[in-house]
Amino acid sequence: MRHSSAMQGSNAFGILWRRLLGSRVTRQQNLFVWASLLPILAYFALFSVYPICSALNVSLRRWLIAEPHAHPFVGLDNYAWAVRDDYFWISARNSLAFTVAHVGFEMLVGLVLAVILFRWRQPWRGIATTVCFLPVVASGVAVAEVFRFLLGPRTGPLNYLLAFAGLGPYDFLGTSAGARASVVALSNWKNLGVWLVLYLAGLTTIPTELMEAAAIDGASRTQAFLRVTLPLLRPTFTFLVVMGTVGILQEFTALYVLTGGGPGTATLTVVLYVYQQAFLYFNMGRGSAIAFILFLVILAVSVVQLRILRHDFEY
Amino acid sequence: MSTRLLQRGILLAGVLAGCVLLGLLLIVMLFPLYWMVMTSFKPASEVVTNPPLLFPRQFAGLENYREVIRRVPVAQFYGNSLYIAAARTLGTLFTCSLAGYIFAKFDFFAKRVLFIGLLATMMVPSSVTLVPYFILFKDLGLLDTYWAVIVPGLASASGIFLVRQFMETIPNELISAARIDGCGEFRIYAQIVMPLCKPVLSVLAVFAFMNSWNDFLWPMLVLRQKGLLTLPVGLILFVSLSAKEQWANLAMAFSTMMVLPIVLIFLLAQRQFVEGIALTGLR
Repeated sequence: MRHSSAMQGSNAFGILWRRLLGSRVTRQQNLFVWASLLPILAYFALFSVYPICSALNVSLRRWLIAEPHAHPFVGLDNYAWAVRDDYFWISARNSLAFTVAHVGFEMLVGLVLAVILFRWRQPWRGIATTVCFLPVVASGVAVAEVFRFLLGPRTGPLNYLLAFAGLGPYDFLGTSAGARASVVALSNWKNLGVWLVLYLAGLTTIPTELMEAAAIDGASRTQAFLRVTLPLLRPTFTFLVVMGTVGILQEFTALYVLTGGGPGTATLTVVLYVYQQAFLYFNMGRGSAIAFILFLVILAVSVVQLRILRHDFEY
Repeated sequence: MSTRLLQRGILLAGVLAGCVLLGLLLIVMLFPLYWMVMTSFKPASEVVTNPPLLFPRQFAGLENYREVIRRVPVAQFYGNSLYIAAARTLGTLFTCSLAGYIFAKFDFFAKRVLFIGLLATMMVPSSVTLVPYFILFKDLGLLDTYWAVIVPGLASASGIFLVRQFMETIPNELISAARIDGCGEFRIYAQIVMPLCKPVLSVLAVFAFMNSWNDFLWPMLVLRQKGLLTLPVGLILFVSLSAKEQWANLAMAFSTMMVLPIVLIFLLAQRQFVEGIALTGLR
């Protein structure tokens, strides 16, 4: 512990200096820590923290690509525009409906599937998981192109089946209801594997003694499922709902490739609208304002998650 | 006697229902991918038929693939995608392992605050960063370069979290022993800790690679020169150039070429994928 006398002082600077560098034994370690960590922290500051500030800044300005040198401060004008803009509310409503449909479906189907698969022996469970996971790893652009082709009014085998069943050809991508259903179908198909794997992981954390105890106490299988399994899966539910919501609110590829937001505005979501404003109409200010609203919504969802998670119990 | 028969009947019905469910699941999950591959082997005349052909009557072989390669520089797109994915994967491995190691094994000023702050950056959605990134790279004059696609993908907070969780299980004695033997701090990290972390690093690597390989929106926004395009952007360009339905077999051939490597990696490294999902979700 040989500090030079200048650093021995009890002034604030001396304390800080010692906190940062410590004794000579740990000095080498501290040097390593800060030499490695500072660039990484700077990276996150530049690519995560700064963009948030920058997005806020841009959203408060009139920022057009066509006017590269003047970005006058306009206060909340862009937000006021968004609130009065019909398309913004249409996109918000579409995003909400899309999210509810996606998360609701995956939550239910994923759970049913996981509970059934959980009782299967290997290798069947493994095979089913692998197959469900293939769409997750496949490129979003590629599978969206495949769906566009599958659902086409003339090209698609699905319409052949419908016609065969006497339900006639249906223009999935040309009608509002059809396009919405198609987008939900694609996102559900693509993400089912993630939900399945996470449900299965949640199910394996439930101690078998609890199920045995329930059986000994005379609970039927249904009772055990409703009273033991479901409550114990609550952390999994919370995690899945938040992850699924935050993820699907930001979905871009499936919508852009499959429907492009159409027909009309039937599948225009907030992220697509951000893209349109910022990169088709080159209005960075308006695009940022919508994006920032989306950010606040996502933040709120995450905070609610933390709140709920804090109340989770141990077992 | 009859109850035993009944029980056996119920059991049989259960097994049968399981088989039907498994079959249905396999069909629904696999059919789109099957259709993609099959269409890529069909000659143009069989792409749109009534009834649709589950299997090409005239097997076109690799003709469609050759045709795609004739029309767009697919090899170039492949090279670009690989180059970008490799750079992003190596960068992620380095930064996440280093930061994960430091947060797991060192005590330092403001450690908790910094770690929580790092995790909080996971809540920053990619849609908010689009405009700032675009302006940033535009000001730096780096739009339409590899830099714009590689640099934002060189580290991930969830990756740091993942590595930290794993490294906490490494015994401290190992590190202090190396320290007493006079091993430098960076060498401890590179030669002692890194080899022990292969399992978690392989999880991180497959995810970083997959995310980069499939990344679409940001590369589409910044890459303009044909020579720089990645595969997903290249596919969209290809499809926009050939909008007719009859060319679907070509688009499907392109899609198959794009999906094949990542599916192979997945089949080889399945455990890592499933583990990674179970530990962190997808991001």
